[in-house]
Amino acid sequence: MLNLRLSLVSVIGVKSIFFRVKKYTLQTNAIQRNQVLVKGYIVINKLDAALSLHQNVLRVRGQRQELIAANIANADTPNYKARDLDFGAVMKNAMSGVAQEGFNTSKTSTQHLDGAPSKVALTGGALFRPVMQGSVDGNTVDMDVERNQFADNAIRYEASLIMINGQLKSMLSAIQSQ
Amino acid sequence: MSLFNVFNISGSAMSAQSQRLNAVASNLANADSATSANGTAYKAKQVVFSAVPTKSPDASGVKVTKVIEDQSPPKIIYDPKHPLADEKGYVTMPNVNVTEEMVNMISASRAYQNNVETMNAVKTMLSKTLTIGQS
Repeated sequence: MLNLRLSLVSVIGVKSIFFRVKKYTLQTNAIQRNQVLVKGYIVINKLDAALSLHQNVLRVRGQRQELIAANIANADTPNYKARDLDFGAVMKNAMSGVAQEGFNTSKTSTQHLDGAPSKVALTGGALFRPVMQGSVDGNTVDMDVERNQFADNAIRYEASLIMINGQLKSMLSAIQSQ
Repeated sequence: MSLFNVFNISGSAMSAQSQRLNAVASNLANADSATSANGTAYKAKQVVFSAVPTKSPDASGVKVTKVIEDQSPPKIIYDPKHPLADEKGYVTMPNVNVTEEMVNMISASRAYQNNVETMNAVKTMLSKTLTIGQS
């Protein structure tokens, strides 16, 4: 009887030790995972910073392309005034982060990362193009100017794409052996 | 995504220009229609374009807001043998200006082509964007 009770106590004791050990390993796992997450966050942040210039360029160029396409579309609309972006000013805003329209990420766990706010103003900044040769119906679209700017903007957009590809390629060769 | 919106903008312009071409076709076809459903000479139709806002506030598309009848006076020709001639021998013919309509047609078709090219250019840009990091 005594023996049986002793053995029961010892079994319970061993079990509790086992549970404690398990709890400990679980905790250390969580800490390690947190460290990995923090490290990952730093790495992602650096990647983000490395690509942010061309990311912003692509966004502003896309916005400008849209405006010029709207000008071409409205070439025959009476009283339509041609619009365009001041690319330099919008880019300066974007890079200095004046106009912030952040993503609102909802976090359901404490381990989720914060969404970095995007720094490009998605609205505003469009100016009216100066009138070169006015027309009777009040339309200020000059098709030569628009086509010219459209092609120019498209080429610059593709240049940014090529540069992003180049950056990705050099980063890849940095993390790969040989 | 601003580039995707270009499809809406150029698409709206293309449909507006094709409506204009439609009106031109109708006018040219009826350039000699001395009578129509309401008994009077055909009147030239003109479309009215207006800019409509899209998802992005600064870029606007195009819409045909109304089709108006040309209010210019009809052509009066002297043809006593015509069945519709009045007692003095004059016939009221449509107020279609064929030269104007031809110019309108060329303008509409060029504008349409411009928008097709815009769309194609943006399509190329988007498909190149999709292949970032793949080469």
